[in-house]
Amino acid sequence: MSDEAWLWDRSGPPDPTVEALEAMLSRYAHGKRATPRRRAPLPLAVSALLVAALLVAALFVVVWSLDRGEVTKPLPTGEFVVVNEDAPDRPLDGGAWCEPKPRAQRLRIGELGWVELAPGARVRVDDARRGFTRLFLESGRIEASIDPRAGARVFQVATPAVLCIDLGCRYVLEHDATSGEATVSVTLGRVAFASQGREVFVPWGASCRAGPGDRLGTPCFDDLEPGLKKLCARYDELSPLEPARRELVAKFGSAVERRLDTLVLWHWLADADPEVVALAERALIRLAGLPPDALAQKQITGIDRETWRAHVEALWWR
Amino acid sequence: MSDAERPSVEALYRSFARVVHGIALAHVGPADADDVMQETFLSIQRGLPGLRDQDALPAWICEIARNCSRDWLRRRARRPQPGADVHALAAGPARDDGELAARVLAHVRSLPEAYRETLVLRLVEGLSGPEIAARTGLTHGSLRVNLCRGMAMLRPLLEKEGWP
Repeated sequence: MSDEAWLWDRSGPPDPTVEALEAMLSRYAHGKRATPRRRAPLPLAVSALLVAALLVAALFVVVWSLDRGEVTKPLPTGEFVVVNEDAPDRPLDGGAWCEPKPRAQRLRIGELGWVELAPGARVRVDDARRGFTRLFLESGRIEASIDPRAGARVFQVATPAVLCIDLGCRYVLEHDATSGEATVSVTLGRVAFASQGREVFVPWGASCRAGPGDRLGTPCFDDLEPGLKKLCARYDELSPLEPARRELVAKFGSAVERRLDTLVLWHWLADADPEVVALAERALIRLAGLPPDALAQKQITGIDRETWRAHVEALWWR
Repeated sequence: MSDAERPSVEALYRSFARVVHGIALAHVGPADADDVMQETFLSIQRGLPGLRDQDALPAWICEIARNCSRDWLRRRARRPQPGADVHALAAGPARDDGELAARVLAHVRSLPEAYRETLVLRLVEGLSGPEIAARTGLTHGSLRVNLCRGMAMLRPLLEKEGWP
């Protein structure tokens, strides 16, 4: 039957019912908005201006993303209104506080995803502008799940210690008000942890801590060998330019076996001590070989971090 | 399967996002399909290191999507959700295209599981029969049967909606 052939692989004469169903139901497909809103038509001149402005903005975003080496993903459209799922009719404006007791509370971030606040957490909505949302976690634990299709950096959670920037993922973020320490554990995708202009990347399966006084830890995979994990923690405790760091990095570099753990070594390339950087680089070469770009230029030391990142980043995805 | 052969979750997302979304949509509806898709990829990520046979990957992913959908429905049954299929429940003729689409989707979702999943993947996600077969692990023969029987069951339901 011709309609069966069309239903099967779109060969043969088109089946008008199947075609009409496809056109009608495609609004529910992956990546499409489920409930498109109708708007009153705008005057032609206003529409043209809006289209021009959107094109310029889109071009800027693409150039900016390419410049940063990030993947450009289609951003879900619409307003990322923050609502409590228990009271979905009342959007939470900037400045609104949430303190779930005695049970957990879930906030929906428009089409971006959701954030679940553990009992006892204290969270403020800082910014809920169109296309961007920022929360402030004063204390306690939250779990965030953000649509992987969302653009990088459109959802952020600040804590007193650090800014946690979503790069399309799911993660648990905890801030201990007593110690002033924040910890992120990523379960899907990747986040950036940022403080005072410094940024570290935490891929899924890894965790990172940040303490008071701009102390941004080194991200490492949760199943890193315990002895190496201790070296990593000790490194983070020592102040910058502390000579003992060299010994720790040397020990780590000679003992580490998994290519996955180039994650730690790559972050140590940002150390202020050139000796530490050289030790980290030596270990990177042992684990991952020289980056092709460096080989092409016959460069065997002093390779910049971005070249290294391009070479080893794929290893951080299991 | 060795570590080198095992695909990354990112690669699986690229290949299977539409299938996982389609299965979730067929089970839980449009309001929750994205959330179930997230849950599914989390489960895939957790289970991936234990997967031995690469050939079993498509069927394994689809089964995880079904399990996550069922878990979601169980949780939702304990906690009533606002804005459930209002359009689908309304009586009388559909007011606009959006409402008609919601009703048609509700009819597709009322079909038996095997037919509803394949029809959603074909009509909503836009995959062809051979593409669905490759991503679900079903044979071409059984998939073709599911599609044709599903359409045969759907047509009378569409007629009730005044479908030409």
